[in-house]
Amino acid sequence: MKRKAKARALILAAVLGSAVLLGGCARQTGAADPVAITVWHYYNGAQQVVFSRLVNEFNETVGAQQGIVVEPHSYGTIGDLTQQVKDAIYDKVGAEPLPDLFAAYADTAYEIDRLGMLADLGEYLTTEEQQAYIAAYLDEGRFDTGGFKIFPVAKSTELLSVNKTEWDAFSAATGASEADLATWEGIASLAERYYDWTDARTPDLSGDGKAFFGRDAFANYILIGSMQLGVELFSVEDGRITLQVDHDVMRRLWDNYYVPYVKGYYASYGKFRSDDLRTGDIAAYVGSTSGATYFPGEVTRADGSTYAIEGAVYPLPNFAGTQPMAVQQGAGMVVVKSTEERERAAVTFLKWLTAPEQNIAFALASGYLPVTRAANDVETLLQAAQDAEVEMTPVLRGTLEIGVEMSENYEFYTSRAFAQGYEARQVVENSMSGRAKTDRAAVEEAMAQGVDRDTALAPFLEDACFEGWLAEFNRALAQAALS
Amino acid sequence: MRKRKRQGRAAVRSGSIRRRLLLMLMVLLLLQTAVYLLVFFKGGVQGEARKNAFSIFREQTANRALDLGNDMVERWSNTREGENDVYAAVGELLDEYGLTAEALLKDSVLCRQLVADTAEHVIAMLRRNGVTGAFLVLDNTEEEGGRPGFYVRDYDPASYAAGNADLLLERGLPSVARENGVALDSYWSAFFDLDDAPAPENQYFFAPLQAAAAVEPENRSREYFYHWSGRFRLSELDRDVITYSVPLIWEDGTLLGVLGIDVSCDYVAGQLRYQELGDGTAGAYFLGISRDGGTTYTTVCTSGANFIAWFGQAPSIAPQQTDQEGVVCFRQGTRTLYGVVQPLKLYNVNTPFEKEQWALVGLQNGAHLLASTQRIQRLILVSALVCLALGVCLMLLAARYLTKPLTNLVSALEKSDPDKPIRLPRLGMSEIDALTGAIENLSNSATESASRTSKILAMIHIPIGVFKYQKDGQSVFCSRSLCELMGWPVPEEDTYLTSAEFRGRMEHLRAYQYSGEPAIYRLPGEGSGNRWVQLTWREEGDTILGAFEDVTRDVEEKRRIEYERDFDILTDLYNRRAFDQQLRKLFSPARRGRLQVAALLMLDLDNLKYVNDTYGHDYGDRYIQAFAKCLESFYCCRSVVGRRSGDEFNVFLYGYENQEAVRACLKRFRDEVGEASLVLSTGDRMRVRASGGLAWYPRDAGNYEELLRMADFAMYSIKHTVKGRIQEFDREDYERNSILIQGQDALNRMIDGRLVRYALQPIVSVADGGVYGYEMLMRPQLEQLKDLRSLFLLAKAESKLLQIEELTWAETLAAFDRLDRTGMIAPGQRVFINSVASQCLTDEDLAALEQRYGRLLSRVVIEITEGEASVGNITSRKKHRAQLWNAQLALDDYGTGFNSEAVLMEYAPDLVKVDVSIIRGIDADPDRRDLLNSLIGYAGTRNIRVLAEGVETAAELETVIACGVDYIQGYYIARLDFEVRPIPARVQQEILTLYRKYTFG
Repeated sequence: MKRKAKARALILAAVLGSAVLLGGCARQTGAADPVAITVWHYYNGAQQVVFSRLVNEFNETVGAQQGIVVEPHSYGTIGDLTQQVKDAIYDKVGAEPLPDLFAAYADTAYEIDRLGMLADLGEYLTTEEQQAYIAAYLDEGRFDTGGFKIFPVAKSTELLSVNKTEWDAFSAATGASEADLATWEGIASLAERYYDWTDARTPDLSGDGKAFFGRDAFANYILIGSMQLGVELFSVEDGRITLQVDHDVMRRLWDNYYVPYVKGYYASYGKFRSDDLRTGDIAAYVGSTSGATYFPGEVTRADGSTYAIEGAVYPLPNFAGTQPMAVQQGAGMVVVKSTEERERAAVTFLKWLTAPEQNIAFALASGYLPVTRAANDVETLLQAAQDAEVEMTPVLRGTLEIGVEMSENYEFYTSRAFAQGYEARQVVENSMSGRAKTDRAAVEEAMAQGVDRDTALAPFLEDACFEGWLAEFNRALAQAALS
Repeated sequence: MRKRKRQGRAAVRSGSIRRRLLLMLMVLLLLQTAVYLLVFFKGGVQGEARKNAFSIFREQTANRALDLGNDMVERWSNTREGENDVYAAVGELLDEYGLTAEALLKDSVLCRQLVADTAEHVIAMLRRNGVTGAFLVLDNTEEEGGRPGFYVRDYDPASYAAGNADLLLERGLPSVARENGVALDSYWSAFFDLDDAPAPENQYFFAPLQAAAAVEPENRSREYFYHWSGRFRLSELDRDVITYSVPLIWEDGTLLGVLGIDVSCDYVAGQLRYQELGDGTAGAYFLGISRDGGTTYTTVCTSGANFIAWFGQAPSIAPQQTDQEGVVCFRQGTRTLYGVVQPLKLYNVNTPFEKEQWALVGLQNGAHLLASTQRIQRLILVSALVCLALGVCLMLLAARYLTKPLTNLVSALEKSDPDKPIRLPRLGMSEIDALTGAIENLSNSATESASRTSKILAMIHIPIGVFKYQKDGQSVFCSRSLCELMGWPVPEEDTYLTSAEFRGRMEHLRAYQYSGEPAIYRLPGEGSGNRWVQLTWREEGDTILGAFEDVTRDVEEKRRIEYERDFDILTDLYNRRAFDQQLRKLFSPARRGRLQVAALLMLDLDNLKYVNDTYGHDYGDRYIQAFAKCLESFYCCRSVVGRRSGDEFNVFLYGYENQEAVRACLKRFRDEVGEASLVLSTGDRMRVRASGGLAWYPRDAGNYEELLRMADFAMYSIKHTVKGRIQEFDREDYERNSILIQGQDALNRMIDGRLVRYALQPIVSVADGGVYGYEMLMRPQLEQLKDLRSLFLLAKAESKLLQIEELTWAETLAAFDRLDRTGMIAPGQRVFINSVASQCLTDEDLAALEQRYGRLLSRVVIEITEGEASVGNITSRKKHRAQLWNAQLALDDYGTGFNSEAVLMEYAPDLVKVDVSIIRGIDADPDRRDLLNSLIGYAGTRNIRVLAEGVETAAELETVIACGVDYIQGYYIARLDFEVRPIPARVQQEILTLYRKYTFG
């Protein structure tokens, strides 16, 4: 009996042993190969440079130790990136396969999450680790599907950048006060005075005044403005969207953008308003903090000649008599559901990327605001800059200072994600601004044909114009958001 | 060894069947597996698989290179139309202004004009070619900011936005941008800053231009100088691009500038679908340029993280050749990265940049590339092993199928009751079944004989139970009689118990073990008394055979004898022997330490003789029992109690802290005794009384014997004083009277060893001054007995006076005989012998003396001392004897207590010895003289001679002679001596003189 048992055990051991041996071989090759994860981002310029540098650093240090390789892939804009992601998700012909992680706004992330394709990052971060991040940033990624899906990497808000050289001249000539830069109403009034001031510089030509102000990411103007004025445009509860387009609120928004715009006080020509400032077409703009590196050191005139300018940064203007409020934005990173190994590798990268040291380096180079509580501090940032001997332009420095200051004084708002949020936002982005641009073109066209300015403007200043737009806006919005 | 062999005989045989079977099958299986593996590994299957893997790899890379080459050559770099548009615009301008091309280049305004005019064509080319950028740079060096031109970007060539909204301007005047609806890019600038000609980032401009410039203007063919730049950035913060640029050569050979496109490296990388090279991230593509014939490749762009994993941000790679055609490799430690280099034919033969060899390199991890080969290899191995394992399992099953019934049969056989006929299962194998039948038959006959034995055993009523088991067996055979004997539940027949059950019962039995060798157990009996069983067992190999025998009768008999040996039947106390034994045990060196303070109490029951004599022995026994009952009070103490003899009891109390504790015990006992009484036949109550002597350990004695003696002495003392009490040993008293106790031995020794000598003292006759005779006085040789008074006291106490008498007679006569023979005592001289008054020799002794010393007896003077009245007849017998012998009788110590006138009258001795108490100082005391005179008067009339003892002075001598004594004895005459010495002549003369003086006046 005993001998038999022994023989049996021997055979069992042999079979098991060989299985382990072979299994071991298989594992070995796996272990030797690093986990390669691809990341799609939309950073450009300085942001892309620092991001690439950080990715390389990760690959050479932590990645090398843990067998993780990160391959970044840049798309020019968040729009291009989002399109690529959607193409990949919906298997468009010629689309690339989905990366392991990509940058996404909450609404895009929400849409993809509803397809069940996003990993729950909560599984990879301890409560303690989560607490290191600014709570509001994490909350943005908490959807009704549970868990949290968006890893905050770099956040931005909006502020006012001013061509200080131009402003100083304007202010000296007209007595314009910096105080007016604090409200939209003030900006509008300043813009009018600036138009008049520049118009007056060519006495022989009338109606050739210059625009003072421009705005990037126009949707934020509507979303924040509406919210600030008491009505949340996209009211999301339990994933259900309610559109709240308030007539009076919209009118005020209209009066403080469309109206100055068609009058030529505001403008947008290039891709970003910083481009417009660089060509001397505008003197101030509201843009993302992350655009701080784009603030030009000189203005290039239409003939290619240039002159040096200085910049100044101010907090985001508010509507008169409201609580300060600003957008909290910046695409976070989402991790596509795959294997635990890949997901963990992706999160490992993200944790490293957002650790204070890296996060600060990224902030200093890009104008994005840090996402960890430890890093989101002016003193810390400036000290780090000094330590790293980073040369910061006054605008970048001011941007960080004001940005962090705003994160303390302003209420940061970001609309909740919902299905069709991306499309709805596109409507908000383009509806009023597009109308303004078109109508301004029409005004200029008319003026070019000899119609005097007031006559050319008149149809666009009528209430009917607003009502017409509002109806159209409501329709388009409903179609985008509720279809 | 032998044991194992025997035990495993059946197993060995079945094992060998199986082993042979297994061996054969195993060899077969191994051979089969070996052939299988040999064919696979040596048959070239592997090499083929490897080749295939590389071949597929090559093909994939080649396809991708083809695609990329097509894009680059046919699509992206298709600038012909754009060139023509530019040339047309140039032609128009030249025509309009009537200038030469060279002059046009010198005119900044016209150059701006040209750029503005051609911008839409450049944009169109960008769209047409599906590239990420397009540019026109004029070689005008007149502008301050740099060369004029137009450089437009489209980051996403796949999509198209109306109004050029998706385009960004990198270089060019804002006015041109606005005209064309193109936004300015972040790092836009108005002019091309191309001051640094050799800089890599400027080669998109200079390379084709300088190549063309190197050729004579008339030979500058437009299709000849195109150039693909390597990776570069337009500005520091711009993204990586590659460009294709052609020089713009006017008809007269003037070099106007360059026209070209760019493709961003990200875009190129996007086209290089590395995923096709193996699952996930194992593959990568590398696009590079080799300027050294393929030794190193400068990185243009890469796709796939695997490249980063291997090379990081390497600016170039250097592949190594492999044995596979067209396959290169890179090694890192044990890991290998394989590459397939697919050259891209971008330049025509004999073009200036022909040496810049572009190549697409497909890369794959060796592990992944050859994964399928290795997987097949593993599968083959696993399947071979699995087959082997399965084969082995099946073999085992088959072997088991064959041998299991046999094993079962053996186990059935082993389990079967050997005392019953065995019934075994049939296996359906004829040979085995035949064997089974034979076993059954054999067992039947064996069983019959066994049952006969059992029956015989039962018939002869031997109270014996047997059991049997195998050492590692599961059950134990127990005979029915065993169960009866042991008081276990009795089965109907002989039975089997499980080993555990049996072991449990044996374990239980251990509590009843009475003796170890032989193993005897006392079983609690039902009702009356215990039962005793004796275990005997024997080991035979692995078999244990054992029997329990009822030995109750033997054991109880033995115990009864033991009891009777050790216990006094009357009192149930230890007898003397057992008591001594117990005490010796207690006093053994090992246990002595536990004694602490101990006491030996010797008790003597008073009045027993009286009870016996008065009421009969029956009451005497009851009297003893009543006392023994009192002794039970000691049972609660640490004690040993024994009856020493008829009326003597010993009690030993031990292990006490101090004497007080012992005394407390004793007090209880005394109280008990005080209340005890015996009801006599008369109805009276007789109180129990006892005397006791007590000696302490260790105060009085250090060992048992001594303690016994001390206690004995204490009791002796009390017995001779006040009865009915307990006397503790008194050292002083003991030392005083020890002779009485200690002298016993000495006395015995003296008597037995005849350790006495006799000294002689001459007795002189007054009439002639000659020696009348000698008094023989006993002198014991033992120091303890030197004192004669004590000696006699002792002898009397010990009832040894008769022996002393015998000794005296024997020794004095022997001495007399010797002295007579040697002539020391002259013939006619007499010997005075001190006979013990109360003793008389037996007739036998007397006869013996007469026979031996008959001739001397007439010369003997028997000195007698009369004491008690009862000895009167003894004195008569002595007188009678003296008359027979013709000897004389002397009355000793006349004048002291016992011998007086009455005795003198009664016995009419021949001689009377006046005691020294009368002689001492007689010369000065008229009373003594009167006494002596009256005696002499009395004696003279009755023919009794008078002898004066103890004469020590001349005055005494003269007085006694004057009084008229016949004989004189004393120091004045001669001292005691062991030798016979002559009387000094001076004394003789003095006596004679005095005699004459007083006789004859």
